[in-house]
Amino acid sequence: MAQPTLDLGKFQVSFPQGVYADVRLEQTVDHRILIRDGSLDDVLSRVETGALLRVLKDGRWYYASTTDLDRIDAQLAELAASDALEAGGLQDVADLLEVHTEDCRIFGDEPVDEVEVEAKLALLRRYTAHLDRPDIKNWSGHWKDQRRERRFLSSRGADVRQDYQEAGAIILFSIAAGQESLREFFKCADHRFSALIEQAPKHEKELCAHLDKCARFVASAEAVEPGEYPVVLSPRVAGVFAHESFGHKSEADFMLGDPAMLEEWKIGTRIGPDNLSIVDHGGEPGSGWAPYDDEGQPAHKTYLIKDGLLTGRLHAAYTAAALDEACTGNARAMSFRFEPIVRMTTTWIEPGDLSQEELFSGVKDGFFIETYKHGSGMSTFTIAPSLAWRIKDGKVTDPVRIAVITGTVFETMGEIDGLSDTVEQSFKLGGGCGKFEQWPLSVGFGGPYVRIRRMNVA
Amino acid sequence: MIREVITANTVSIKLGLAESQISSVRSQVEEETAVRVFDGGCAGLASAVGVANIEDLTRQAKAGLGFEIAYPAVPEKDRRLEASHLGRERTVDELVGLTQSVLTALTSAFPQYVFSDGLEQTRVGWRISNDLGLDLRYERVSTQASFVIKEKGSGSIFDTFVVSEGLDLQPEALIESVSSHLRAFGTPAGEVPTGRQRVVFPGLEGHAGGGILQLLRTDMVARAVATGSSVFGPNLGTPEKVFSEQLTVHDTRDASKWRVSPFDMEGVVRASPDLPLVQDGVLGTPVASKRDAVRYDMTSTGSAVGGLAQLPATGVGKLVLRPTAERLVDLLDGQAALMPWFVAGGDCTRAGDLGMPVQVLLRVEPDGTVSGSYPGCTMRGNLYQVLGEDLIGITAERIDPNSEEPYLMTHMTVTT
Repeated sequence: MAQPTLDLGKFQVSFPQGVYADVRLEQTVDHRILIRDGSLDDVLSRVETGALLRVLKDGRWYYASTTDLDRIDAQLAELAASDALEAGGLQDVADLLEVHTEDCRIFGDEPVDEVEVEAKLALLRRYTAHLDRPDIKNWSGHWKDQRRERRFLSSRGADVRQDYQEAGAIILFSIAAGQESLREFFKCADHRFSALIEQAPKHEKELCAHLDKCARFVASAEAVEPGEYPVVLSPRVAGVFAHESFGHKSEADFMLGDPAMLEEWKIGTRIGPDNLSIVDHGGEPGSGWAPYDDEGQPAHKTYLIKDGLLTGRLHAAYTAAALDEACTGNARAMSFRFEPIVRMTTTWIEPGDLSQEELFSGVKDGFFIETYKHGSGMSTFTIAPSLAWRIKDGKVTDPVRIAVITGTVFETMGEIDGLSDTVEQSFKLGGGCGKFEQWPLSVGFGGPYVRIRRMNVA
Repeated sequence: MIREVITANTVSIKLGLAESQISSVRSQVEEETAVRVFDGGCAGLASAVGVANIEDLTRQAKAGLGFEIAYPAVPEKDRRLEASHLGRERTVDELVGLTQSVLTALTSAFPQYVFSDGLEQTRVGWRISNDLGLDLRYERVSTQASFVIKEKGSGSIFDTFVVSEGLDLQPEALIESVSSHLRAFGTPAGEVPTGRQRVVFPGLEGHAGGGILQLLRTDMVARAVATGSSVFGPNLGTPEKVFSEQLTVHDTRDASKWRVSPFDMEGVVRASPDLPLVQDGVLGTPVASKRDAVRYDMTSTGSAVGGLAQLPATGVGKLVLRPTAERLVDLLDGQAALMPWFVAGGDCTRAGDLGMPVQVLLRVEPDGTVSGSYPGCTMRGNLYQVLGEDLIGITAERIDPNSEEPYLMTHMTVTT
C-alpha cells in the first residue's frame, strides 16, 4: 500500500528578480482505517505533494497553488509578471520577515507513515474490542495518521524544513437506554506510534470508563430549565472556550482598517480577573506544533492575556507591518492549497491555585460541562455540550441534557472566579480550527478546570 | 476483477479582500485520481493528488484487496452520462473589475464597515468510469462572493456577513443584496421581542438554519436505522405524521432543477431523482448506498457520498423543501417577524430540543423586506413542533437571486 514520496530537499527554485517571492513545498502522507460495527470498512493510503508560491509585487500578494512541481520556476515568473491589481497595501511587508535557515525536523526517528498498516489495524482493534456490549447500538473505529513535511524557501535566502506527525484513534459510538440515545466519542492520539502502544492499556481503561459513564448519562439525563447558572468547564471545554472566545479575537487581521478597535484593544486593557492568563505558542508539543510558521518565522510564546490584562496579539507579516508590531510565528496555512493567514497554534489558559475539589465546592447549584460537540465564537460564543452534569452543593451529581451554553466574551471573562491548579492539553487528532475557507487546521488547546459565576444555559 | 477510475479536477481563481480592498490573487489547479478495484465481494482503493499513474494506482488498489474489505455491491454498468452547470467563467481582469465595482459601491455607501474574505470562481469536474461500460461526467462552474463584514470599532472579530453563490454573479444584484442587509443591520430595531415569536429562516442549510435538518441528516441513514439507533426508528414505515403535513423534504439529484450531480459516488443514477425523506409530514425512505443496502438488507437509494480518497459511504445529499407559498410576503400575512441571519453553533439534542444562539437577528416587515436589527438572543424550540404544529410554511421564493434556498417560517421561543 505504500506510495512513493519525494525528497523535498532536492528541489531548487529560481526566484524572479526585483520582487520578494517565497515557495512552500509540502508533502503529506495520510493513512486511514475504518472499522464499522466490527467489519473492516476502509483502508486508505494517500500522498499529496504540492506547493504554494507567492510573490509580493507593488504591495499586493499573488499566489498560485499547484501540484505540478516541475512548473514552479515558470509559475513564479508568471506571478512576477502579473499586474492584475493596482499597487497599494504595504510595500515593506517582506522587510519584517527574518531570514532563517534551519532543518528542524524531529520525527524522522519514527515516521508514522512507515509503520505497517497491519500494526495500526491491530491497535485499533484493541480499542474496538471493548465496544461489544448490548447498550451500544452502532460504532465506528477510525484510525488516522498523518506525516507532513514542509520546506520554506524565499528569494532572500530562507530555507526552513520542518515536519509534523500525529497518529491515533477516534471511536464514535451510539449508546442507548430504552428510547434514549447518545452519540459520543473517545479519542487517543500522540505524535509517535510507539507512544500509543505504550499507553494502550491506559487508553483501553479510559475508554471502558467513558463507556460506562455514557451509559449512566443516557439512562438518566434530564433536560434543564433554561436560564443563567454557575458553570464549571473541564480542561477540554476550557480549552475550546479559550480558543473560541478569546483566541480568535487576538488574531490581528480582524483589527485591520479599524482604528477604533485598536484603541479599544489597547495593550494593557483589563480583560479578566488577576489570575487569568492565556498563551499561544507553536513551540509547544502537541497538535499545534509549529516551530516555524508558513512565512518562515519562528514560534513565539505570546501571552494574549497576562494577569487579566491584554498583553499581545497574533500576527502574520502583513498584520505586523500594518500595526507596527513584530511577527509572532502565527502565519499558517492548512495545506499547500492556501495562503498563510493569522491562526492560532497551541492556546491554553494557565493554571490557577485552587484544587479541583475547592473549585467545585464553590458551586451551590450549577452545571459541569465535561465534553462538547462543537464550539464557535464571535462577540458571543457558543459551546454545544455533550456530557454535562448538575452540581449540587459542590458535588457533581446527575446527568443533564443541554443544547448550548452561551455568553458574551467580555462579560464571561469577567465572570471567571476560579481556576484549578493543573493544566491539561488536548491533542486534536485530524485538526480542528476553521477560519474563512481553511478548515481543519491542526491546533492544540487546553487549560485547567474553569469556574464561571454565570452563563446562559439552554 | 473490475476496475473503476474516478478523477476530479479543480481550477479556481480567488481574489482575497483585506481592509475593503483586493489584496491578493490566488490561482489553484489540482488533479486528483482514485482507482477502486472490486473482486470476490471485496474492494481495494488507492488515490493520489497531482499527476497520477493509473497502473501504479491499480497495483496499490489491488494490494488493498488483501485487507478483505467487504464490498458486496455490484458496480454500476453500461451507462454514459454527461451533466453540467456551467456558469460564466471570467478572466482575472474581469473578476477584478466585478469585485472592484462592488467594493467601490459598498465602501462609498457604507464607510463604517470593513469588508474582507473574497470572491472565488471555481471550475470543478469529476468523472467515474469502469470496465463495465460506466462513464459518468459532471462539471460545474460557479462563483462565490463572500463578504465578512466588521463594523469599525465594534470589538467583534466580525459582525455580519453576506455570501452569494451562483452561476453568474451580477454586480448590481450583489450590491443590492449586501446593501439591503447592511441597511437593516445598521438600523436598531429596539428590544428583542421575547416569548413565542414568528421566525423566518433564510435557508435551512448553513449558518442560519442552526441545525434544524441535522437529525434528518444523521438519523435517516441506513446504518442508524438498521442498528436501531435512529431517533426516527419507531415511526419509520408507519403512517404517523411526525411533522406538519405541510412538510415535504426531498433528497434530490435532479440536475435539471438544482445545481447537483445526477449521479452519486457509486455511479448510481436514480430512476426518480427525488427521494422523499419526509412526505406530507410522514417519514419516508432511509437513504442507503449500494454497499450499505446489501449490508443492512435495505433498498439502495443512490446515496453514496464521500471524497475520492475513501470508499463511498451513505449520506444525505442536497435537501429541498416543497414550497407551501409562493412568496415570503404570503407567509407573513400582514405581520412582522424575526429573521435569524447568523446562528453561532446552534445544536439539536437527540430529543429534538433546539438551542440557537442568534448573533445577527433582523426584523422582517410585513412586505418581506428586512428593516432593522435586534441585539442577539437565544431561540429555543423542539424540532417536532418547529417543523410540526408551529410550522407556518415554506416559500418558492429564494433568499437571493443566486440561491437555491427558500424561506421557512415557524414559531420559536425567544429569550435574551
